[in-house]
Amino acid sequence: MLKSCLKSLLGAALAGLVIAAGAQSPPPAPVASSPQPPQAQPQQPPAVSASARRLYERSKGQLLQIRTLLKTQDSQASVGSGFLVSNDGHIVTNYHVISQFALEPDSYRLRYATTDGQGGALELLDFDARRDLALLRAVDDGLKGRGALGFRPLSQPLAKGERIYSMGNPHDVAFAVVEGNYNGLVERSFDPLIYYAGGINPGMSGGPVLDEDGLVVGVNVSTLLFAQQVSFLVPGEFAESLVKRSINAKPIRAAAWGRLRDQLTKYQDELVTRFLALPWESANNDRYRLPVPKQDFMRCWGRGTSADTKGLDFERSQCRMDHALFVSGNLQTGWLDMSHEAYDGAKLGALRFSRQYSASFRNERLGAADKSRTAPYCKEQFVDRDGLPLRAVVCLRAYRKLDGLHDLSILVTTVDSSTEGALGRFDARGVSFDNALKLAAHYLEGFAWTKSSKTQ
Amino acid sequence: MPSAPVAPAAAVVELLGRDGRVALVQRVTQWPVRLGRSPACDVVLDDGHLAAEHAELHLAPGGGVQLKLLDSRNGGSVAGKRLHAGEEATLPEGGAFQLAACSLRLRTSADALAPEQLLFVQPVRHWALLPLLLLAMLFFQWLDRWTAVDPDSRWIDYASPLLGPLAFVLGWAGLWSLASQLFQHRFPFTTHLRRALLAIVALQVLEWLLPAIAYAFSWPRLMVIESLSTPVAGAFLIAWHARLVWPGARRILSGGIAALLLLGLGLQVGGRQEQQYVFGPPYLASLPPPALRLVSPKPPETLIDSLKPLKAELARQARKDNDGVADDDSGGE
Repeated sequence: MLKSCLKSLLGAALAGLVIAAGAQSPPPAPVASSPQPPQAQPQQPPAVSASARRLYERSKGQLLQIRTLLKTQDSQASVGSGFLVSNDGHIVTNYHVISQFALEPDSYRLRYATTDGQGGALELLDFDARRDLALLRAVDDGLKGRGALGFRPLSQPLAKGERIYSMGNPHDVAFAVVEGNYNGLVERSFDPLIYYAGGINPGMSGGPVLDEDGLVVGVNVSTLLFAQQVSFLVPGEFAESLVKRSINAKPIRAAAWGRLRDQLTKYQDELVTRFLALPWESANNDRYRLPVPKQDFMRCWGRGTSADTKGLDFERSQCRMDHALFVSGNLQTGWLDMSHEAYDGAKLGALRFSRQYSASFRNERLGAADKSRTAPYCKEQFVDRDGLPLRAVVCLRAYRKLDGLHDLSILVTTVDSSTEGALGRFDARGVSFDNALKLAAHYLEGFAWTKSSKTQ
Repeated sequence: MPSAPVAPAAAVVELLGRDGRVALVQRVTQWPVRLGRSPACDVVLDDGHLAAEHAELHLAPGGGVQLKLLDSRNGGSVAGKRLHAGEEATLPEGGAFQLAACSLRLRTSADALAPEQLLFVQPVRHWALLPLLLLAMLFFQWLDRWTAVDPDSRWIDYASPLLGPLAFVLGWAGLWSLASQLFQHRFPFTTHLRRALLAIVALQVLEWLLPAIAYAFSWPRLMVIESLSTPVAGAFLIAWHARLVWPGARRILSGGIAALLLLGLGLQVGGRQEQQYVFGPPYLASLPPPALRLVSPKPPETLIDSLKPLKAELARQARKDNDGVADDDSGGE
């Protein structure tokens, strides 16, 4: 669906750019059609930086810094980057760059700064919180006629290893162009994200990432913490469809909680539907069937105690979605996280096991009331799962400003043995109440005896 | 001359200490009575702020006793009124007067005597009670530690969990005994220790008993008692100790401590308005051995159904802090 709407958009918005680019600099080497830059590199090393320079020269007119300022003073609350997508001053950036304005338009205002030092006011036309994208427009005519960056058509996919160039203004230091490589899409991600091997820094968010032809491949969005050169881009197709959808939209002037809520509600419906569509896989435990997700958008890690421990033996498994949706500076949402610990207390005896098992159960944090969410409200009881007795606690927190969305936490312990047990936890962020109930029922279904233990 | 003054049958001059108790008593053998530092005086007082012959008590012609200040630098006072050398004043009821820094009192056979006070005697307890309470406390401490450590733990791991509370409870009883010493001139260490131990052991028993019962019958709200037990038992224990120290102020003390307890609980209520429960943990986290479970588990649907009322309650909570938010845009796309 996305592909088809993308193609039709491309010609209209970007025809001008290709011509402009051609006029500014000599036509690029035919890299895009034959993706073999790594082989060409060793022979002529300067060529790479030369093409970075050429790309920057060509697109600096469309490159912008997006600044969020307090309404009453000129100090900047946050900075990001953006780029022109129309000749009329339409700009694409990240939603998280302008979220303060979107949610508190009475306290903040948006301005742009061009690479040649001009500036002006911006208005917000639309945003796509799921893809972390926003569409802005210059209020005055200052950006008219500066041309626009075009999107690389989906029919010409990039190959792994191709050079791409990220642009933006890191930390408000200066406009910069950063070379890196396209590495395909991130595996185990719910929504497609491009894995970009290059350094993206705060302030570059919302900046364009261009191929050798100067076409937009993606939008800078995030990096992996405590990693080097592992950065993520929103694929350009989503930016292109946002532009197409909302280029004539009326500016948003009131706090956009309602729009945000609608987008997040739609997203969680899709997420929960896809999650519930697959049955549980069982963890490799002799006694209990413990729920492990099969979904390709969750990543699992495991660990256990060393074999010679004299205390409680346990194995831990955690599966989670690595990518969250940004709502505001103190709230991220839209992900699932689950873990379980299987305990064997044969070396401890019943009393000690009971004490340490309880301590582990008590240790679970459910969160407290804050500005964005209520305190958790819980229900608990003993649950029978095909003969396996469980103690289950289900807690919900409601979002204060995103009406109808909740955080769900479920704690489950098995209570059948005096020296063995399993503690499971499931968390879902930003789901509707009905979906929370469905997820809770689904999660409880993941617990049972294993076939071998049932027959014993 | 009017009628001659009549000397009382017997009289004593008492020197009072700072705590109001009598430090020195001297019998009056003849009138007038001369007071001062000199050995020639009838009442000899050892205070450097007194003159050799500081003052004189003599019988007034109309009854009562007059204090006459002799030549001195520091003078004295009667009923709060300063007297200088050569001045005289009649002693008030009770006979209290002050010379320099000495508080003195003249007591005669004509004054009414306070009735004999009943000696406050603690009932005798069995000798084994205190050691048993101490052992019980140490046993629960040991049990608490034993269950928390792995089987390969060394004896030294038990040292601080056992000795720490022991030192604390002995120190606590000692401090209360010192307070008793200050105000009651007694050192009832064992009584204070017994009271502290009773409260501690009661709390320890509750700590093991309540989770087990709550788990057995799946009554998670029973844990409210546990969360209230510590402040209530603490307040009760302090009132109990204080009753030994200030037996006369029993009502004021109990009222004051109860008011403080209510204030503390009230603050907790105020601070946890947003929580589902004001007292007690958010969920029952104890998992005793399965033999203790007395209720049978229910199908998962009952848990899911029990969640449904939370929807309206959470929506109400969510709206609470949401009042300042302006109306949204239409939200259309």
